[in-house]
Amino acid sequence: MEEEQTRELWRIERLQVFFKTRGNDIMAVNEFSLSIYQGERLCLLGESGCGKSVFGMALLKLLPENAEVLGKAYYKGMETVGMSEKTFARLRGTEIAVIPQGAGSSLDPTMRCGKQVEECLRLHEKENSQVCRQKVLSLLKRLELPRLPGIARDYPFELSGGMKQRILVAAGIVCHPQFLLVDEPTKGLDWGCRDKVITLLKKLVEDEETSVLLITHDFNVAKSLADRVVVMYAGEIVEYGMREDVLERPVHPYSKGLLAALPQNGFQAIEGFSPPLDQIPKGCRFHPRCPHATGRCAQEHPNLTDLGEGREVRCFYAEG
Amino acid sequence: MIKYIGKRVLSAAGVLLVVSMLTFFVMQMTPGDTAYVMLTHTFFGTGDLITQEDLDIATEMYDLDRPLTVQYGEWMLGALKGDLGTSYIYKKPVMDLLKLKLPYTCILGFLAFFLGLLLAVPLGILTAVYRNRFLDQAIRIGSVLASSVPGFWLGLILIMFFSVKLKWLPVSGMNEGLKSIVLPCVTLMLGMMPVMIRVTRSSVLDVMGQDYMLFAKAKGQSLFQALLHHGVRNLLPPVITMASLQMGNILGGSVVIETVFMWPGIGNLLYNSIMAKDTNMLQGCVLTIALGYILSMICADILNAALNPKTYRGGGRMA
Amino acid sequence: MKCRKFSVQRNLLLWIGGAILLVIIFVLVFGPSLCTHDPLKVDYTLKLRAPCREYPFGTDGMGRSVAARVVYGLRTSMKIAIVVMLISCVIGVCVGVLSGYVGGSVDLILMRVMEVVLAFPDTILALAILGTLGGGMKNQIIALALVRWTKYAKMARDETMRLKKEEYMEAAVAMGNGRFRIVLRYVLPGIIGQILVLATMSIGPIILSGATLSFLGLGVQLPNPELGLLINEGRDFIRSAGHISLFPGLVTALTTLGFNLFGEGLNDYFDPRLKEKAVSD
Repeated sequence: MEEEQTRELWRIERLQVFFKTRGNDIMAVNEFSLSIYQGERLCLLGESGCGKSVFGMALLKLLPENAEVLGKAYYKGMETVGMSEKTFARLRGTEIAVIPQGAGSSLDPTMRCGKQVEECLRLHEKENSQVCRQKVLSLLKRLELPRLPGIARDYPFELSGGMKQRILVAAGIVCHPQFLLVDEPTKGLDWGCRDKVITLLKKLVEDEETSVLLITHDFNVAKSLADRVVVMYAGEIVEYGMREDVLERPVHPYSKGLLAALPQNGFQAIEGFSPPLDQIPKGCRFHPRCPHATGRCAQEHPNLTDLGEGREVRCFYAEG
Repeated sequence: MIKYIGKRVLSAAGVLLVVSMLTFFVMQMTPGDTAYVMLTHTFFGTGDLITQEDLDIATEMYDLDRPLTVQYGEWMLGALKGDLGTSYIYKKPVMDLLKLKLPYTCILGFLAFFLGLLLAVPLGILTAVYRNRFLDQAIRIGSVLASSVPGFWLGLILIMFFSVKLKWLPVSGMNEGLKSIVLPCVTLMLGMMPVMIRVTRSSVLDVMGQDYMLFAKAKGQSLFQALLHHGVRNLLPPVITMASLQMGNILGGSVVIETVFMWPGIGNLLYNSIMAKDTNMLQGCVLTIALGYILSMICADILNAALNPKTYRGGGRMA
Repeated sequence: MKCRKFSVQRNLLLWIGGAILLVIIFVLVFGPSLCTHDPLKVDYTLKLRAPCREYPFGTDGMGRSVAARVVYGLRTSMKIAIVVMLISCVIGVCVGVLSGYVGGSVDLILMRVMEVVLAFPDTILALAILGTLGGGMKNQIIALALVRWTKYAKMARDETMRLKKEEYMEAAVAMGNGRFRIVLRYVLPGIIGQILVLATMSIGPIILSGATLSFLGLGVQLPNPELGLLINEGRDFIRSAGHISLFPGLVTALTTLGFNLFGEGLNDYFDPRLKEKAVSD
């Protein structure tokens, strides 16, 4: 326990994110408490619209102006929620980096790919362009990009989706960050590309010993990359624990439902839809769709229950 | 890239040819016989004394009885050699007059254009970065006001205030060098700035909402660094296109402003030639201005093409 | 908070613009009956009076009431602006819808025609047309309409092409509607909102360019009052009697401002994308 405390990279306490709109405030992330340890790969799993990307962007302080973040987040003991933009900008790129979602739109269409990777190096490590270029090229080589070194001089529109995603990976990791947020790395890629990107990403972060927060809705991605898994539903954590526990023996009805919905398990989708964030149901947020819901579920909002072995579940009937 | 420029110039040449035809045929349809109009200027100053005989002589002298198409062909051949005919009122080749007056319009136009851009683009960026704050609202209200004021009236008011009342600047003409260009320049600038501010603002807002700007911030860049590295090249195209269109407004506005301020440029010449029904002169002025406008649009297209890697990397190499 | 302020300010444009327009309409309708002076009556004994109670805007070089002339001038200017707007709108929408809906070579030819028209700066084209046809109100309207139609055509074409891709258009074709019927029943209703907004927004610029032409002496002819012409009349007196140009100009600017604000407000009101943007930014 003592040792774990020292290795803690992020400690997030009751983080909440609101979006202010004309009508009313929408809560996108509710009371999110979590620790991320050095060198571990944590996966945030959930449907689109459950607030997982919002949480990631909140950690990086990159939410739009109308968002309000409450709670505390400590990075290596430094509180970041209240930190000034200027101070935090110094952490971005070097300590805390991101591989954004949407390979197509996150690359500047008018800048050569190599330069976009190099940019972060030039900004943080004051080295001459020759050294930077060498570093970038070797990184691109490790990512198994073809046509080196010519590809560094290509523009994004000249690359395929998988190549663009790998350029993004390179741009995120080039400064050897301690913490890497990977947002939907497989979005919009076909199956072959998906596996390749994940394998390369896994190898890279293992080599670099980077801590990763992986945001995805893809069970397989979570399976192949994560050490620990957090399942999110409608803006809050419903279950977390080690990968094998959560993905193979889920306790929460929602995680169970997700597992059953996989093709190899028979495509049994959960009934209904996840609620829009401005119409969160009373009581347990999952109860309208839950097959085991009781009267209590509709009235009372369950807290996370500790199941031991670093496992917690937000369900009244978790043990039973 | 060279191929693109060639294509663009060629299509512009086509447009210019049609423009010249249109101008020529429309101008020659002037109510009242061309020979008659010419004679009023050439010999008498009034039409009362013109006889049928005079008309016949003039018609023959200037070959006015031949079909318009032939006349156009000859005029075109002449125009290619730099001969745009003779002005009826000034009795000089149109080309010489244009050469004489063009520099004045260019000085005034370019000065207003570049100063206007120099002010409007940064203001547009500021309003976008500080959107919905006081500065933004103030500039927006100012530009709505400025776009509602007729330019020629603004010119008169400026004259009344700065020249007549305060006696700081000359009323009109251009005898006092730098001092005399201030008012016409400011008037022209105020005409184009509101649109430019607006376009810049919306273009910057658009770029700031893009994912790559977010990524740039995630790499540790500040908003201004991100705008500098990734913004400029992406936000410029609409600004450049609008600027080239504003060049048209400056050229058109020059007729009015040069008339108000007695600035001896092409606009003034055009106005005088309309008033005197000096067809050749008018034709020359209109064509020169259309040529300038088309050139500015070509420049904008080429600049935009140079900013967009897709045009000069040949449409994309598929991986 | 910021977003709410934004929305109030948006509606504000519509309200201020609307209020200005109401005043203008009032002047247009009741102005002539409120005027005690004849705008055309020359009386040299009264010339160049400064603004006073009897003559709120003063008198001009021939002793005519500037206020009365402005009231009648505004009528002329508005008449020109509205007629030009209607003509150019009809021409532009017809060309645009035809071009966008039929496409192919029709589109190609019409677009080339537009390209040629757009190769002239607006004012220059209008001046060239007036230089050929001669001045006067009728020719002024023709010249302005020939300049302005391209704006509507461009928008109508783009919108028609966008609508054509919609699925309900395919359904309408599949149901056996004729082309003309489809244009009338499905295309026009789909673009009418934007056309109305554009039409409102274009009145301001039309007033300005109309006034410009009259100012240059190529539009409405003396002694009839028109705003641009009135400003021109005052040019000879800018040293002695500035009010002769000042007031017509102020009225021109105010009218244009009213239409610009109102158009802008309408645009925000009808443009759903802008609303979303307001929330997200």
